[in-house]
Amino acid sequence: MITCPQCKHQEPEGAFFCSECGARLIRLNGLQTHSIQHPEKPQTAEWEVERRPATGTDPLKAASVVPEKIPEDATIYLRVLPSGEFIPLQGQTEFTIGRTSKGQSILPDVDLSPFDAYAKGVSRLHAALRLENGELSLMDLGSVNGTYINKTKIPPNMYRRVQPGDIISLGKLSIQITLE
Amino acid sequence: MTPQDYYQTLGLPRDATADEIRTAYREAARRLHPDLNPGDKEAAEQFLLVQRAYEILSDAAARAKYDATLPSEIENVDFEVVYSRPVLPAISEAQLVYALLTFTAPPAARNLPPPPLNLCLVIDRSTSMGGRRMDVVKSTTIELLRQLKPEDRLSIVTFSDRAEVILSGAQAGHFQQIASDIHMMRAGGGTEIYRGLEAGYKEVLRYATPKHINHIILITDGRTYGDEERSILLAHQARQHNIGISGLGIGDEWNDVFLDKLATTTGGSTMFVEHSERIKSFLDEKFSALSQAYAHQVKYQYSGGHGAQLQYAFRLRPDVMPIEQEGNTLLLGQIPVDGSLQVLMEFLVHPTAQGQQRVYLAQGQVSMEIPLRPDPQVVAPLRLSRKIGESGPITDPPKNIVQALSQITLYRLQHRVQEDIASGNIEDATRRLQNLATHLLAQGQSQLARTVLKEANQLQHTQALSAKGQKHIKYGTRSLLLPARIEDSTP
Repeated sequence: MITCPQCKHQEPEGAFFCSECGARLIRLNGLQTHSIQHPEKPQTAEWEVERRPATGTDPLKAASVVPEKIPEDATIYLRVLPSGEFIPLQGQTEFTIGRTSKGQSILPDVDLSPFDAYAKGVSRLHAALRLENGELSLMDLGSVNGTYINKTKIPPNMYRRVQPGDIISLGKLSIQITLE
Repeated sequence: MTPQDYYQTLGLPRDATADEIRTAYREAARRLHPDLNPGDKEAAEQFLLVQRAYEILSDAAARAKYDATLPSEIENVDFEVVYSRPVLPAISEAQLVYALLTFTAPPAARNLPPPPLNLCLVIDRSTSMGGRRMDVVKSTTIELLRQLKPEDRLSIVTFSDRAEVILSGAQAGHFQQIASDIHMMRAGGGTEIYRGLEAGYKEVLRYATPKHINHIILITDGRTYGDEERSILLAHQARQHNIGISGLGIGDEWNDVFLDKLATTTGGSTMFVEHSERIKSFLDEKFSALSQAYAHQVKYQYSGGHGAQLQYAFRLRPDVMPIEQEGNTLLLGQIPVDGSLQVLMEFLVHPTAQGQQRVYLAQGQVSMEIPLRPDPQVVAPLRLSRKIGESGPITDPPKNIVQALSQITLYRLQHRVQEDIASGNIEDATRRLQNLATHLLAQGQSQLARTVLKEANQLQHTQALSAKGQKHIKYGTRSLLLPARIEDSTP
């Protein structure tokens, strides 16, 4: 079985696309698909028979077991769930994520206000995403409602490694990191 | 006499492994050995053939040389199957495999005269067709008349709550009278498609020959009530006589599920035009597509291999339509003179048994009508199978399969939205529409994506899609699969 990285639907081996949400399950050029490390069940999503051994249960540790460099020319997008809208991240190596409100002096680089950020408990400066040596990491900036990587809460003010495909939640607002 | 086909002699597919060849040879040799069949001349001859086949096929170099001389598996047609995987892994769970079938007319076919047509236009003249729509249909029909070749036959039936035969099997010439008859057509009354179809069917049947491409083109803008079932039964009858039915739906109100069903039952196609201005280009296209048919009524009659089950089949060329399974027959469509008929099939392979070497996905025969041949019917066996075993190095799946699937997936998502709505599952339908919009955006289909998002909104408020949006999404996602996009999906 292949688990869809986006909606977790189970597809038989040999499937190329998720029948539930339409996500592509394979990557071309002989590369493997992004495997999202899932806390409960580590899953593989390669299109060929080769299977990756289970990498433990801690998503953060699992991520460091399978380092995946991000190519320099790639553009990172934040995909806001559930609307699916993409926000490109360009021109910087570090981005603050949050929302805006009246009279705010420091504005976040990524403003989530249009996505109901206030109601979903996103702080004004909620988290920071950093790209360094082809590695992405995320830090919670002491937000009120906390930051989660794949549903696991991370401690504030410490960078944690994240990968394309990971779902980060700021309060109740979920965002997926994707590569183009 | 046709030269010996070594694969047939041993009862093997052309991609048989060395192991399979050895096993098949031993089995045949044991059965036919002269010691066991004393005095049986036929067995002795067979035994020699088997020896010869094994001699060639067991020698890799000789086999390659022999393979290069093999004709296409189907007489008069270039035929090719590509699978999503070269070898299936032996695993204890179900897996998917895709087969892409391509039928191409031989190059020489381009120089042959096009087959004669025997067509009937069945035109809805209900009140709603009045005005611009009717005018365009009339002028287009008259123009089509002028394009008739000497052997073509054209009938015209109009219908509202009853049917009228305006033209019965007309041939080229006599335009004046016919043109004025067509101009006399007036809109008025309801829409009873069965009456129109029945009259059209009788006309086509009257002039049908194996030499002709026999086809009904239904042009409508409305819904028919209560006679759908009878119409579908009629379509089955038409299919028996190799008569295809294609539908052209105008505007938002016609019943797309019904027209699709008529078309898939008979190997025809459905087209959707929103504005009457486009009626002409669509009819032109349909006309030229029909007259460029090299083979039509291409069918695959199969018995499912016990190792796998056909999930769905989808025609990608020359036009895009889902293919319905009717019992054990797939009506694939027609092969154009200067292009291909291409069909993608998805099979669910059951868990493989220990020691199993090959899984049969489907076996049966392909048949088709090639009107230009003295004996139009061509039949050939076709077996779809895959080896099971260790896979070699990981290779990319065939690009054309991935490409086609990325778009079939979107079409199927759209289909599931309809199913969700029908079963009252608005939440799932909305989520699926949002997913669909995301994928469309990623493929650069921003207009269609916007239509989808708008409908997602509408769905949350009214628990239903708008008739217009629903058709745009259905035919828009379908037309993504066309090689050169002809449909304008602007709302």
